[in-house]
Amino acid sequence: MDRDDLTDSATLYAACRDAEIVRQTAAYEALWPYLYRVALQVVRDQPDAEALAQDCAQESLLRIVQQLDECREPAAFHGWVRRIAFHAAIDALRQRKRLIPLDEAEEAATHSLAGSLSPAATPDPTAETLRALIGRAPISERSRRVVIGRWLDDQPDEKLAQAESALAGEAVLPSHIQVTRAKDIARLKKWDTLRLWLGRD
Amino acid sequence: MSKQATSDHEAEREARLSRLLREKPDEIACQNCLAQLDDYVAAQLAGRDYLAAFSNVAYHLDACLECAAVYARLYELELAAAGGRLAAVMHIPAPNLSVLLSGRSRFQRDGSSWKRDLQESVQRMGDWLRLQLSADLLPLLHPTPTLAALRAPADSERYAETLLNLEPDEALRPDWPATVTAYRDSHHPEECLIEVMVELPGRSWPDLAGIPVILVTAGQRREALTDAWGLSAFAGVPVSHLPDLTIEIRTPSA
Repeated sequence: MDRDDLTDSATLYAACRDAEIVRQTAAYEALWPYLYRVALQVVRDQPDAEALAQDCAQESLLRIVQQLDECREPAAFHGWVRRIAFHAAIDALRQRKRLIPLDEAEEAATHSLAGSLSPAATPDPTAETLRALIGRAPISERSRRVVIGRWLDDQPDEKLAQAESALAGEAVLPSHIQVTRAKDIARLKKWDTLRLWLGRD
Repeated sequence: MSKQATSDHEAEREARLSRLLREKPDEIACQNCLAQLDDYVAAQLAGRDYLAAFSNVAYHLDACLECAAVYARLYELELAAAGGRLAAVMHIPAPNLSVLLSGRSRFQRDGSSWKRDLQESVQRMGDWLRLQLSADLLPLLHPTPTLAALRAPADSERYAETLLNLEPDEALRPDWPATVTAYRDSHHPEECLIEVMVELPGRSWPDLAGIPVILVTAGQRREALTDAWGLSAFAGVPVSHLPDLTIEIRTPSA
C-alpha cells in the first residue's frame, strides 16, 4: 500500500490493525510524522522541544498500539491519536515540572512579595466593592481587565482576547486570557487586603 | 434594567467571584475538569456557548493554574490542527518500530493460541525441522531489545532495530529448538539480517558447529552452517519477504 493512500483516517486505522507486518509497519510509519508534529506543537516552548517531542511521539505510538481496540470511530482516527499524543506530551511536561511556562511559574512563586501585596493604606477596605478593590490590586492593567471582564462584566474570553489583541497590536488568543486570569486569581488570593475583604463576613 | 436590578446583578457577580477567590481546588476537581476538557475545547472552537454548557470547567480553570495550562496547550493544539497549522518541521526523526511491535505482541498476544499456531507451523521431515512463518504469526513474535552476543560493535549499530524475535520457551523447545531474530539493516532499511541460534539438548559450545540451516524466501534457498555457538546468519533478506519465510534446520530426530 502506498503511503499516500494512508492519509485518510479510516484507511490508516485499518492498516494499523493489519495482521500483515509490512502493511502494519507502513501504517505506523505513515502515522509517525503526525504524532511528532502534534507532540512538537504541544511542547514547542520547551528548550529541548525536538528531543522531547520525539520521546512523546514514541510514547504515543506505544499507547496507540496498546489501546487500538478502544478507538470506536475509525473515521475519527486522527483525532483519537492526536488526543493520545497530547496526553503523552502533557504527562512528560508534568513529570519535568514544566507544565506551567517558566515565567508564570516564577511569578506564581514570587507573587506574595511583601512590598507590593501588603494591605493597602485605605482605612477600611471592607467597605469597598470587590470591583473597586480589584481596581487597585497590585496586578497589571491587563490582568485587571481579564478578571473584571470575565467575572463582573460577563465577557467571554473570545471578546477579551479581541480587545487585548487590539491594544497589544498582536494576536492574543482566548487561551492566553485564560492562563493570565488563572495566574491573577492565584495572585489575588494571596493579597492581604483582599483576604481581609473576604473575611469581613 | 432598573437601578435596583443592576445593583442586584452586580452583587450576585461579586458573590460568585468571592466564592472563587476563597476556593481551594482539590485533586477531584482537577480530575473532573480534565475529563471534560476535550469537550469544552471542542465546544469553544465550534462557537457554542461553552461557558454555559461547561460552567464547572470554566470555573475550575480560573481556580487552578495547572489545569489552565493544560487547557491552553489543548486549545492551541486543536486550533492549529483545525487550521492545518501544526508545528512545521524540517527534519522528522525515525520512529523506533521495534517498540511498536513489542507493545503489540505484549498486549495482543493470546497466551495459548500463539504457541499453538507456532507449533502448527513446525513440521518434521526426516532429519529436518521446518518452520513456516505467516502473516498471522509474524506480529506475535516478540522482539527483544538485546543484540546477538557475537556481533561486533559496528554491526550492533547497523542492526539496532529488531523486527521479530522467536525465542521458544521450555514448552516449545522440543518442537523448535532455535531462536530466530530479524534485525533491520539500517544501511539498507528494506533489508534485514536473520539470525538462527540453534540450541540442541545435550549439546553446547563448541559442539554446536556445522549444523545445516536453510532459509527459503520467495522461492530462493540459502544454506549456512552454524558456528561453534550454534549461530547461523543470513544478511540481505528483504523485509517484505518475512511473512513468507521458511527456515529448515537439520537435526537428528529423537
